[in-house]
Amino acid sequence: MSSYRLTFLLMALVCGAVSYFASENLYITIIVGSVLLLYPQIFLVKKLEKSQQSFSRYHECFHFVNTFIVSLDIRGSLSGAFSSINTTMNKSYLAVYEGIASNKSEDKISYLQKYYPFHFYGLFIKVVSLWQEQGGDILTMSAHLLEEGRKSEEHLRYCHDLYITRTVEFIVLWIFAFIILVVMRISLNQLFLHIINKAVYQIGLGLFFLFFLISVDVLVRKITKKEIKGWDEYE
Amino acid sequence: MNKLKKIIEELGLTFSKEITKLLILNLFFIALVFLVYFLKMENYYYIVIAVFLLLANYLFINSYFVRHTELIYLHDDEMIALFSYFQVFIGNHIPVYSAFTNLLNYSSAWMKEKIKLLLSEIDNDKSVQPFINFSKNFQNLIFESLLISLYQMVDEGENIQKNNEFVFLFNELSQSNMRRKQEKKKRSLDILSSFPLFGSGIITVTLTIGIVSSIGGMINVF
Repeated sequence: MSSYRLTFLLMALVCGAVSYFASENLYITIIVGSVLLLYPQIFLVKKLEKSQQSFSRYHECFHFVNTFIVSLDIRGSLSGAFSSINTTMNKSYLAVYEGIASNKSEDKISYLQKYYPFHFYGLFIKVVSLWQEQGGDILTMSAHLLEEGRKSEEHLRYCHDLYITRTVEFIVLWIFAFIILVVMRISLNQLFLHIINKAVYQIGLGLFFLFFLISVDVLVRKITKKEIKGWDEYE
Repeated sequence: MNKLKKIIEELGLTFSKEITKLLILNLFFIALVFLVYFLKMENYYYIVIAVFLLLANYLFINSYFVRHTELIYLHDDEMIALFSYFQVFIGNHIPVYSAFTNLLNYSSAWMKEKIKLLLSEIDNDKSVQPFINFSKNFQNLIFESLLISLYQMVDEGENIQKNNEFVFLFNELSQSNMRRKQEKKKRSLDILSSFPLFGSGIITVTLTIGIVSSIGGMINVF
């Protein structure tokens, strides 16, 4: 089970427990617990996993292009660059490479565009084919390309750090909101037993958890917004 | 009304369909008014419906302007990304015309149409006009300077000074665009902090209403 699924499962259990403590109503608890369990599992986990995959795949792509260009400059041939680079790449790349190992180097580079479906990689292919046609210094030819890749990397790192900060703030603030609910329940005590069955209280409690779910959905949509050019075309 | 029609069409929507949606929305509120009348409800419900009617109309029409502004920024963003690819091509001595042709592989449908129009205009008119016409598709005025600089590269042949001018202008644009995007992202995430506050507000209001109505009930008994 992925960490996202576990996190949302824990969230549903906590919300279910709090809703039972705040309402002492099994029906409300079951509705709150099941909605908060099912909605994220069906709609949010996949978004988060895809977004994480696109981020890590882009980092891998940048590392590949960077290392390949340097290896190409040193070795002077595509096949030499491939044999250098394979020692630095991860299992996922190596699994794809295994399937195309017997192909020509030019075909391998073109095929890898399915694995790295970014505009950045498409430009890399263009630069490599220009190098093959015209010759010259590959490092000079790819200077603008690597600069562009570096800017995207910096932007992605900025976004990643911002997402982590804002998610932590979001979680802490919602924990405080839940604590307010629990403390009010405990401190009102006898008076609470008078209001617990009132329709206005039950609707308000339902709205509170609905609002919580909407805010989690908004957070996930904002942090999974596509930042990388080209990923859409291959999804 | 003409401005609204133009904006709706630029968003790729049909004016008549959108007006039909607006009419249905207004008919819904008019139906609510009749419901209030026939159920002989309090008069203040008419005021509540009128307020919601005005708000709904404002939000509905305003949403087109918001989407239009977003679309303009999206086009500018796309062009900046394409210029960075363009820089890769011209840095490797690919002619400007061929570089634009190569950009078609990385462009959206809207951008492809604009670039193809530029290329066909260049075929017929060797002056700076096609480049200026192309720059008018974007909001940021620096695009005009960039495209004029590109025209000069085409007209005077490749020379290092023109190339450097283009690179300088583009780097300025790229950095300011990156800063704008990061600020916008930060602002859009800042709004998430207000959700827990609203949640606490809902609980506080709910409990207050519940307590007051309970106390009211107890007082009535006495």
